[in-house]
Amino acid sequence: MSRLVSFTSEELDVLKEVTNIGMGQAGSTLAEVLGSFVTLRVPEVRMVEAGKLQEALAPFSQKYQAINVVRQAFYDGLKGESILIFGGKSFHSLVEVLGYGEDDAALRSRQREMLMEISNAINGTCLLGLGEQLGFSLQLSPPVLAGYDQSSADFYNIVFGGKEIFWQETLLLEVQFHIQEKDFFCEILMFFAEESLNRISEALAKLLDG
Amino acid sequence: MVEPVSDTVSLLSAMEFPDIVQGMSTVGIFAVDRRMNVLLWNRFMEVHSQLRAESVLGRNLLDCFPELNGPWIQRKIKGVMVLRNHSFTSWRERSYLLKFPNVRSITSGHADFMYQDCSFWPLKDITGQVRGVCVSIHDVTEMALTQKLLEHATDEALSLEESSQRDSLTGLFNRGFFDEQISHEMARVRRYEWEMALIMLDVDHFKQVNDTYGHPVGDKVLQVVSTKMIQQLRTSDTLCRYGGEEFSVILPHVNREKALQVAERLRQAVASEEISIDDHGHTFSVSISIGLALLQEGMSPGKLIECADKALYQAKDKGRNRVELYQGS
Repeated sequence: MSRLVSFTSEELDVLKEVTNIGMGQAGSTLAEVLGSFVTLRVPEVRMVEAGKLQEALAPFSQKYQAINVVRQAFYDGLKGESILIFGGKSFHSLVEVLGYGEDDAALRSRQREMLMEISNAINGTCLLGLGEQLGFSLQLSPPVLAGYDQSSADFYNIVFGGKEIFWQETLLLEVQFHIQEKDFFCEILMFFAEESLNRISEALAKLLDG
Repeated sequence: MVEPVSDTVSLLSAMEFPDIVQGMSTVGIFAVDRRMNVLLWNRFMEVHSQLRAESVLGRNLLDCFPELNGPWIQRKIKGVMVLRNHSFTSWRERSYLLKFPNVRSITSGHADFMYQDCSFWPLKDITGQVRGVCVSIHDVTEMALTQKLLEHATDEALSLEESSQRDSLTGLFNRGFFDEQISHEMARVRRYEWEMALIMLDVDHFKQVNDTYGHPVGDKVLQVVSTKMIQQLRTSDTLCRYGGEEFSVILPHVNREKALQVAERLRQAVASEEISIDDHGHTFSVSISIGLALLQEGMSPGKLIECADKALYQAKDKGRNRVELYQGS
């Protein structure tokens, strides 16, 4: 993997547009399952170099006090990892939406399960939606709870756990998920692996030509 | 036996599951339609549930397993069908989906059920339409028990370490812990370019309390003061018993204003607390003097403590039961 893939600003614009279309569809599907109106936004699509990763993640440490983090990998078609950040302490909003009982809201094991459930639902629909737009299918791994009620200052460590970064660059999609009437908000950082970048680039080129 | 609904019947006859799935005894595989009626029940499921396929096919899963949380599983199944997405459960959050006995009947101690990791995925017919959901159940009891054992051992090791860091009377961190922790916190806030404050405080006229009411009451005062203070602090703050009646508080990620607010809250909380001396309703209250110092650039831990101490001395000098902020060089 020697050549650095660079997306032109035009390509990134198309990607952002295509992602938003995918998100729109994902939103209505999720609304059907969750029984509430859902908003999915993609405020940011950009390339991030490994060296600038900590810097890129810093805003999330500063936004919240305590955070919960769910990690989910995807592969086969498009490869990468999705990091969900839920900066709230209140799980009441999730309880109704996910069909749990009131008693469940206080149980830590149920809270963790709800986090993984919402991560799976959002990642599933968004990534599948995006994949469809670009012409790829993909598989999701089971979600993994990387951090539960941890200090936001540890965000980088929670996600990368002191491990070395062996890749040079990644494509980062920032997604915001909001259920207004239940006052539930979370963010998802979708990182695409180097080996997928060429494929995405080709798919975007096709869209631009077509 | 309740007669299955007609489209379940047609699904049952239309769906042909390969023998390899049916006969598999190492992984549980079952399927339900949108109404939770069972469409497939493989060998593993038969053996562990002690329910033969014939007695379960076409029946509602919730009737066969009344302990199952109906709303939860129905929503999960619906999710898979609508999102056309894989879904999962993990033994860590939900020990099992269906309660099956543990296969290790002699050696496993008190694990009386099978720990399970499960996957859910959409069941499609030949036209690609989603007609139901397939579920796989993996017996992960071995892994779960090993993991729990490891966690238990780690917890024990940690609590052993912890007890050497704690003050036995108040349960707070002790001086030894504080001396290490202050360096760690300083390094951390510097890394993130945050501000930090240190509080050194002590209980006013403590010697008098001991002399007047005796040491047991003196001990109780320290415990009460500790409890009242902990209630005012965040989990990221570190409260330590620094010495006899002296305490220290490390406040990371606070500015001057916030630090003063916290200090004042501590003072207030202690001053307003009535401490009972005996069983006859006699009470009294104590107060604390607080010295506050903000971390400046280039300061060492020792220097920060020195500044907070100087501020504490000022607080005493100015009449006690007050907060003083260290000013100047």
